[in-house]
Amino acid sequence: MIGALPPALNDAPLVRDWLRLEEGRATLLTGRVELGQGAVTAIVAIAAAELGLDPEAIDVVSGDTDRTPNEGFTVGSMSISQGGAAVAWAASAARLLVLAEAARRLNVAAAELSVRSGAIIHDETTTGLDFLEVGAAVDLSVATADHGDPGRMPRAAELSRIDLPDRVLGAPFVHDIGGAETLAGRVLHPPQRGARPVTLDTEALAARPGVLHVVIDGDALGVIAANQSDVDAAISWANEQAGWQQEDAKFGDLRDFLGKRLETAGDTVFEQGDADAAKGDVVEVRTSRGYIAHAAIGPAAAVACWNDGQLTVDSSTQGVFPLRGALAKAFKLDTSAITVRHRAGSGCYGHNGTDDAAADAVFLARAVPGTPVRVVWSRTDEFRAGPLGAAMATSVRITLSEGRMSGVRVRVASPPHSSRPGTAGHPCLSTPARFDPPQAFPQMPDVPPNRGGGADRNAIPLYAIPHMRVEKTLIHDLPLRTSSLRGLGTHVNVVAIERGVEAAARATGTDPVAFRLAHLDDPRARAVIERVAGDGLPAPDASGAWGLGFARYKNTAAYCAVALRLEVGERLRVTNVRVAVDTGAIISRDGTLNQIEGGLLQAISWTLLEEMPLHGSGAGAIGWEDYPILRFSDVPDDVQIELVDRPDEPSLGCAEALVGPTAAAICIAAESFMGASLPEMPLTPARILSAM
Amino acid sequence: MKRVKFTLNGAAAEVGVSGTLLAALRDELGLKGTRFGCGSEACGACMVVVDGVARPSCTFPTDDLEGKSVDTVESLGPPAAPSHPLGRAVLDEQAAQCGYCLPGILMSAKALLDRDPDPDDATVRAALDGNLCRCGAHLRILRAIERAAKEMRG
Repeated sequence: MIGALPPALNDAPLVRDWLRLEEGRATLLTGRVELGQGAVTAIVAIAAAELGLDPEAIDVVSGDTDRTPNEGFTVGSMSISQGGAAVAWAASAARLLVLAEAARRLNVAAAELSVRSGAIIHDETTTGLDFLEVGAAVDLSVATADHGDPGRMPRAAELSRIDLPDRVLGAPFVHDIGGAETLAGRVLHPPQRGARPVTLDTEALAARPGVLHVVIDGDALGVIAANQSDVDAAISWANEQAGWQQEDAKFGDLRDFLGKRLETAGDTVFEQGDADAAKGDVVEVRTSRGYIAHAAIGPAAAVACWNDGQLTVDSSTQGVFPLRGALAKAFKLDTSAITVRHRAGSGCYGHNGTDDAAADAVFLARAVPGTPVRVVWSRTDEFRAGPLGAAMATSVRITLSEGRMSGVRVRVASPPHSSRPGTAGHPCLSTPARFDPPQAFPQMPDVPPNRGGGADRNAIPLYAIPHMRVEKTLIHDLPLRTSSLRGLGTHVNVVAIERGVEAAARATGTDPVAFRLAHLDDPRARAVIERVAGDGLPAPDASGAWGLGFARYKNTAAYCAVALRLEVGERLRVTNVRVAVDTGAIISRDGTLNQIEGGLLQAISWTLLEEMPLHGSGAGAIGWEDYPILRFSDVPDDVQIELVDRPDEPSLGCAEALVGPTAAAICIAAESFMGASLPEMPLTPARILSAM
Repeated sequence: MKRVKFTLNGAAAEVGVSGTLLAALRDELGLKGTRFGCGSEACGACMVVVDGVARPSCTFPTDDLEGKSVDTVESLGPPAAPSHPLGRAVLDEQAAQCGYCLPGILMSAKALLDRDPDPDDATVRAALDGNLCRCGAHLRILRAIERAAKEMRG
């Protein structure tokens, strides 16, 4: 169902801003970009269903500052609910306008006409009129809001990903763009923020094999060569010679540092009743995690070219328009002088190094006007130079009264979860931050509550508890750059809340599943839990135990419950999983399942394996050996996913919904098996041993 | 300059020395389906099949290529109409999200299925343990390989 007019229609009000019907083709223009989540395919399917065309008859342009609407960032699983809705509006307007013209030509009522595979139909017979031919004569420079009437989001036929064949068997990635004329470049990234190369002989660097240019601005330095191998060798040499001078920020043990910030009250972000006045037995849990890397398999990359004062950038950014704005600021250009085009990138789970790589390419390409420069980060850059998912800690204190939860206080301590390009009017790009003068980063705000919150995302329990207070302490004195990573605070917050609720259930002697259900009023919340654990969960066995986790993402999006069995041995492994997700109306069943599977497996990886090692006051991973992630042998043996279809409810994204419930189920299973409290993620064998 | 002669996807090919096979494929021969991931044999994104064995191309020296037979992901294509069961199965199962890791995974799978046409699940997983996937498409990838194996057995 499509509710109010999507906000994107304010900035791009005309039908032709979204759709062109020219020369026998339909061209769809979307500001949403394909990040591997299937969003663009789903949007094409929506347009096809609304127009009555076959998807193959629709060309799509996505994320191009010269051509598409400005839809900001493709984030937060809102591609369908917002971007898809805008396209549904525009496509419905186009259909009605074209049918009105066809009705005029046929001298029948427009309401009697429909479109099937591009043919205009009247009384179940073809009229001989072709939708696209008639459409070419219709003026689409009219307001979508005046003509659109999409009603319910169309239930599109299952459509295979239109971009997938090329991604898997071809070479469409930003890494692959450009022929022999394209030069290779890389910037020398510091091992930690603020470190300066003080002993680097730049003349000797310029004389290294294959080096064409050494580009310098302040502390920022990069190399251009004819090919990637020569650039990589030159940058490795420069890194050895750099004599990095740095001041280590002293924060001691990260978990202790975070824990201390939980000892004092933070800013109240939500209050209901009087959490301090609630009297009774108290259970309290704490949960923390370290920094999490985006860790895409392909490192960040971009291509830039300056031509007669015009700059063209190919990037796998989540937001072509915000990146354009940030580049304009950093390089002192008018936005009209910059074109940013989205190109396929390796996995994107939030704000990774992609925008920084684009700035690197622009910085280097400025030295060779007219020639494109491609930047591909090294694996080490990918781990150390890009933003990280924030380390954070959350405490949950629950007051029990007569077998029920009567009060809860949630405290979150975390660095901010956003430093996207353009935040607070600053470029927020790593290399320009080292220019002379520096384009410094501002003190970052967190993501505001009306966008789901950042550190406090999912910090408000969905359970019916009369007295609640949620506090947040935003930490600005940790030196690592943090930004949005899948789910933001939801990972730690849901684990903390679910562990707290589990402990509360045990303290009252109630079955944890029944206890949850007894504190949930929303039938959709109850339904997902009942589907995975309605008959209770199996008891712990000799080698493992089951755990349950539940959350409604952002408390406004998809409902998700996960029950799983964790095997505890020399290594920890999730063996069996049951998932139930209610994501509203389902546009693409397989696309939804793909996102759920991915969310599940990534959450398992984060929770069992992942923590960025620290080196001084910077990220310490050099390669995958320092930052292991889930492998094929770690993948669960059995995964059962149930989608609760709600055709009359708005479509909600699901890519982040799995993060909290999966992690919570793992932690609860481990605690159930061990009979001990396990407050720190990841749950490594070493942490399990020390709990014994 | 010395040229190294080898067989690439069934056809005669040659490259100038010296460098990595990955660089030769991407930059000199224009076959960009093989991906750079880490440069240290740790992720499998650059996997190709050399004389029947899956090998990371990011460290494989072109000096050692003489007379060898190399297969890359391009041997499974073309994208619009894949010639190989693995290419078809990965699309039929929609077994990817971003797709970046898939060429390497498919080449590991090809080496496996060419020597063991009917591997059990544990064998497939073990053969793919050197290939990382960050999007979490593992379950689909395992299904796709099973499907391709079935088709290849006829």
